[in-house]
Amino acid sequence: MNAMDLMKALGDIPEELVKTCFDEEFADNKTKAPSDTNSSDLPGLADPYQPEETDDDNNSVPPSKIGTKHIHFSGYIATVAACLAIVIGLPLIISYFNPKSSISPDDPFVPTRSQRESENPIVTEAKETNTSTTYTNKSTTSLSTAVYSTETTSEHQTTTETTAITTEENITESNNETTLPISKTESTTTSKTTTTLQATNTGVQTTSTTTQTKEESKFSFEHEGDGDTFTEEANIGAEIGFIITGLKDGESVTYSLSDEEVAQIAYSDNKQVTIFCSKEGKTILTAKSSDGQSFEVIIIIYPDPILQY
Amino acid sequence: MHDELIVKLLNQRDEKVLQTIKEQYGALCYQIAYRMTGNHQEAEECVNDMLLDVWNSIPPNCPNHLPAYLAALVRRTAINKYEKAHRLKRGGTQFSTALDEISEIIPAKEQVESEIEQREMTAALTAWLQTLPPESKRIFLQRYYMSDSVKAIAQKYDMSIGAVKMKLMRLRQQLKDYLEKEGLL
Repeated sequence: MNAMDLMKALGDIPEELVKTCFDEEFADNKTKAPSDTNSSDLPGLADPYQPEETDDDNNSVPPSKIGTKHIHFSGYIATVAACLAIVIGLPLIISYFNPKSSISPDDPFVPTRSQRESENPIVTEAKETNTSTTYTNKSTTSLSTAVYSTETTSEHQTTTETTAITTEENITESNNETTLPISKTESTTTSKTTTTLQATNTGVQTTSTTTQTKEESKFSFEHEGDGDTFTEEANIGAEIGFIITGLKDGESVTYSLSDEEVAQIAYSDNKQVTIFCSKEGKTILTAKSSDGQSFEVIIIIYPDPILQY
Repeated sequence: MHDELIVKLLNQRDEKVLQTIKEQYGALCYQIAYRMTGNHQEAEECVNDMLLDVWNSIPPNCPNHLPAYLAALVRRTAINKYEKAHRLKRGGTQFSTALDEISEIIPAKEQVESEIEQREMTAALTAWLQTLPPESKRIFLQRYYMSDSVKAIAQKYDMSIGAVKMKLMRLRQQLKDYLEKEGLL
């Protein structure tokens, strides 16, 4: 028994089995009239005089499969595009949210920030130089101009420190003292730079003070309670205490309030000061050391909510 | 024309019905013959031989399904032509041709045995085919009975070519297992 015998045996199988092959092809043909039928247009049959395509032509796709393959191809393109978007976009997103991640801190060939600053101080001084140029022009004018430049500086600081703005505006309104911005050296680095430049406008003595403030411990107070660094909020009847820090040995401190009707100094020495809040309003506590350093604190006093009702 | 009417006209010995058969099923028979012989001329000869066989076999035969009956006839004719062509290709000598001519009237003992085996094989194939699901049965017959191409089968049943090949490979393995189990291999 060989393959040919098997093929011959297959040719003798009952018609009922073979019929299944023809049911689909001749389902519609049975109703056709003989005159309408042609050997070349029978359903499922090609032109008999046209050679059939061989199975070797595997690259071609059946017409009924073209749509499916097109969909698969589109899906393939979409997948590749998504992968590319992830590969390209992910590092960008990461670098956007974490710019430092683009440079490995462990990379020995990439200097650290402190190294860069020490090797190239121009980078850190560039801002100061630029800003001082701006205010040097104004320092040649009168004192009022200098005050005006101080106000301008406060506007410049709006991008960095809101508290400093409030302080400076109040001080400008009340005292018009050019040394007031020095206190802002305690807030942020940006404030320090600005203050130094303002001191240049207002006099040599202030400049030296500012430099000293930078180098030595800051003359300030220990902040406690609500509010930001230079603003204290309290109700009527409350006492606010400030512990002074950064005072040198042998130096003394003098305190003053801009509006003594609103609050009074209950107790003070070189280490602390206590303010009694007696009336609704706003006042500024100014602490000035004997060596010229000073700071201000805005005290905002609200009416007692219980007494309001 | 309906198959019943064709058979009826054949029983009435109406020669015109042969032309109707050729018009209606000639393409089908030609395709089967061409797939097996691979030659246009031989395929046309197979179709003509098939028509002669139909004329000679109906009556007494009365096929229930005329296309299947015609396909079986043309297939048998094509197999004979295929064997003959390959025999000529192998030998091609006058002696082998003479031997073939003599063997037509004096069948060898082996041929009788092979016919018996072939009947047993046919019965086994029939039994095995009846166990298959309809789709697998159609695919197997399209490939090995109608000698249809894999690509055409894939197109017809909305499958990929690879899927059809895989299906056929599994069916062949199933058939081998079945025939071994029946003691025919």
